[in-house]
Amino acid sequence: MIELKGVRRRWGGFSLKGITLRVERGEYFVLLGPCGAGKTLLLETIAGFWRPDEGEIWINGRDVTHIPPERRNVGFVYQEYGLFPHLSVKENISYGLRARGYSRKERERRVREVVEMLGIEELLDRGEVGSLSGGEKQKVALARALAVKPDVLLLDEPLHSLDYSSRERAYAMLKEVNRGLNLTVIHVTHDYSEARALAGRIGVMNNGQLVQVDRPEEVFDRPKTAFAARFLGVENLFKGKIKRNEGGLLVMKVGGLEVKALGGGEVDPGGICIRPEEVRVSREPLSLGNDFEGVVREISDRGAFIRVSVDVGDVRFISHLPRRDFLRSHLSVGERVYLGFSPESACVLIDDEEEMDEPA
Amino acid sequence: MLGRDKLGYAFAFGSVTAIHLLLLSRLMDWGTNLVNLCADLFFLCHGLIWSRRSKGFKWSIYLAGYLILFLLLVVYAGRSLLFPLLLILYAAVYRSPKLMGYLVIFILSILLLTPYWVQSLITFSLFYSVLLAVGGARGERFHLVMFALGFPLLCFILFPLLYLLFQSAPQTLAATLKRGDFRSALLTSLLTATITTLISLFFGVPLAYAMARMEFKGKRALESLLSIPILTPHTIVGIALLVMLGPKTPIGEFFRRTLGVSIAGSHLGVVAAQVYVSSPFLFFSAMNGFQSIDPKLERISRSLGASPLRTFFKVSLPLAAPSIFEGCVMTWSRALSEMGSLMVLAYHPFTISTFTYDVFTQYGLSEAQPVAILFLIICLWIFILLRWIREQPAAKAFIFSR
Repeated sequence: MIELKGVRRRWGGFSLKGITLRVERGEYFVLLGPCGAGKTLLLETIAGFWRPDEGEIWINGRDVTHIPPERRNVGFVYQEYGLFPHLSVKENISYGLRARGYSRKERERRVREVVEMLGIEELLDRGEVGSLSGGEKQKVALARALAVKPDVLLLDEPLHSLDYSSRERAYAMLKEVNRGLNLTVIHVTHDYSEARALAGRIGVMNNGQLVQVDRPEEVFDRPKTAFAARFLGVENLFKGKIKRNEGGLLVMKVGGLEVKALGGGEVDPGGICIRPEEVRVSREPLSLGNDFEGVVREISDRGAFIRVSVDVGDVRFISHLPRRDFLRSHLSVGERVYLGFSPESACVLIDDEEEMDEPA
Repeated sequence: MLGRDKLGYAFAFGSVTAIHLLLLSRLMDWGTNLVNLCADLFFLCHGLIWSRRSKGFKWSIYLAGYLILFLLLVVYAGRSLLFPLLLILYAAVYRSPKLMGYLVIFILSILLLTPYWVQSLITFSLFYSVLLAVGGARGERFHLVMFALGFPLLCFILFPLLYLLFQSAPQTLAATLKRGDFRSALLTSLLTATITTLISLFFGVPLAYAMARMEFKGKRALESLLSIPILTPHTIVGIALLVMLGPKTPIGEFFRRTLGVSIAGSHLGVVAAQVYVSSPFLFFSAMNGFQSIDPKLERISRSLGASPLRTFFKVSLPLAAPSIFEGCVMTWSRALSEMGSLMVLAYHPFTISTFTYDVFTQYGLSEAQPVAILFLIICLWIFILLRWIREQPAAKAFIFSR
C-alpha cells in the first residue's frame, strides 16, 4: 500500500503540486500523462531518489518520507531498463540480494525462483548484458527488481521500447506478476491503450498535478477535464454553456446547437466532450437523443476505423466509423448526412484552460 | 597436356642450371654462383607454382621484378651478394602486395639511405603500416582526405622521436645506463611520479565524484580554477609554490622544525610540484568518467538496497575505471615530464628531465642524447606495457572488480 499526502517538490521551473494518492495493496495503478507531466519525478520521489519539500510518503503503513531509497524496499524499473553494463545477467539479477547480504545459497535459490517465474532461465547463461534484446533486457530488469521481494514495484514506462507483439506478451507478464505476488504496482506511461490494458485504476497527470483518479472505464468514458479528454483521444471537445435541466439531463448550448448530456452537476461545467467512436453518421435519420443534420467535410482511412468530419452548422464533429459500417453506407465528401449520439456518451467537462473548440 | 607441362618445367629448370654452370661460373667464384643458382631456382619454382592458373600478364610482371632487382642491386649499387637474398624475399612476398611494400621500403632505404637504413626502414615501415591500416578501413573517401590533411602533423610528431631513438650506439646507451647519477635520477623520476599518481588518485577521485554529482553555484568557476595548473606556465607554478612552501615561509618553516625536512630542494618538493601540475589531468578524466555514467544506474542500485558507499564501489567506480585509469596514465606521464616548476622549487634531487637539462647545459648535445634516448625507450616500454595490460581480459575484470 502506498499513500502520498500532499507531496510537493520543486525542480527548477517544474514542481509537483501537492499530490495526494492512495494505492491499495495488490493494486495495479497506472499514472498516465503526457511527457513533462511529472510522472517519472513522482515515481522517483516515491522510490526515495528525491526528498519531497512538503508532504509525506507512506509505504505499507510506514512513514518513509525521510528514509533513504535503500531502506524503502521498492523495486524500480526504468524505461531504458538501467541494467549494469559491467555485470553479467546473473550478477545483475542477484545485485540486490548481494547488497542485502544474503548467503550464496540463498541468492542462488532466489534468482532461480524469479527467473523461473518470468521464464528467462536461458538468459542466465548469457554473460554480457549488452547482447540482450529490448524485451530480454526488460525481463532481466524486472527480475532484478523482483528478486529482492519488494513491497511495491515502480515501473517507469517499462514497455516503451518494445515492439507491438512483445508488448502484448509483456502486458500478460506484468499482470501475472501483479496478481501472482499480490504486489502493489505503480506503472507510468503516456500510452492510454497500455493504461487501459493494465490498470486497475488510472491517475491522469498533467503539469505536476493529478487531474483525475478513477477506474479505467470511468476515466475513458467520463473524463472530468478537457485536458484529460484530449489526452485520452477524445476529439470532440466543445465550449458550451448550461441552458436548462431537462429530466435529469443537462441541455448545453454549443455554438448554435443544443446538446443533451448526462450531468455531473457538482461543478459548473465549461464544456462538453463526445468520444468519436460514439458519434454515428448515417444516410438514414437516427434517433439517439442528440440528432442533427450536417455535411461530410473529410474522410480519412485510419486502418482500424474511418475518421469522418461532419459540419453541423458551425460545429465540426469527428466520428470514427467501424470499417464495415462505413463501407456499407457509401458516404462521400460534400454529402448531406444524419449525425447522432446518445446523451450518455456526451460528457460535461470542467474548464481547465485547455483549448477547446469554440463554435461562434 | 600434363606431359607437355612437365616437359616445360624440366626445360626451364635445366636451362637455368645450364646458364649458371656454363656461363656464370666464369664471372664469379663457385660459392656465389651456387647461392645465385639456388635463388634463381627458388624464384623460378615460385613463379611456376603461382602462375599456373594465371598466365601471361602476371608472369611478365613477376619477371619484370627480377629485372628491376637485378638492375638496382647489381648494376646500379653493385651489391651482388644482397641480390640473391632479396630475390628470395621478393619471390616469397610476391603474392602479398602489403608485404611487397615493406620489401620496397627495405630496398630503397638500403640503397638510398645506406648509413641510416635501419632507422629509415623502421620509420617508413611504421608510416606504411599506418597508411595500410587507414587505407584498409572501409568508409567514406572524405574521411581519407581528412586523414591525409592531418598526416603531416602525425609525421612531425613521430619523426623527431623515432629519429632520436637511433642516434646513439648501443654501447653508449649501455655505458650511460651504468652511470650512477643517471640511475638515481631515473629512480627519483619513477618513484616521485608514482607517488604523485597515488596522491592524485586518493584525493582526485572523491573530488571528481563530488563535482560530477553535485550542483551548486559557481561550480563552473571552480572547475575552471582547477584547470589553472594546466594553463599557466610551469615556472610560474614553481614560483607560486616556492612562495608558499619555500624555506622562509611559515609552512616551509613548520616542516623544517617539526619534521626536520625542507620542502624546497627535496623529494617532498618534487612530489609537491608534480602533484600541483599533474593531478588536474586525473581529476578531469575521472570527472568525465563519472559524468558519463547514467545517474539512473546509481538510483537503481540504491533502490535494490545498496548504500551510497556500496553503490560507489560497485557501480560508479567500476564504470568510471577506464577513465580513471586513463587519467592515472596521463598524470603519471605528466609528472615524469615535469620540468618548469622543478627548476624553481626543487632542482635537486635530479629527476630525469632536470638531469637531462643539466647534462645538456654542462656537456652539450652529445652527452645529453643517450640520456634522452634511454628515458624515451623506458617510457615507451612502460606505456606499451600499460596499454597491453589494460587490454587483457583479466585486467578488465580486475578494473571492473567483478
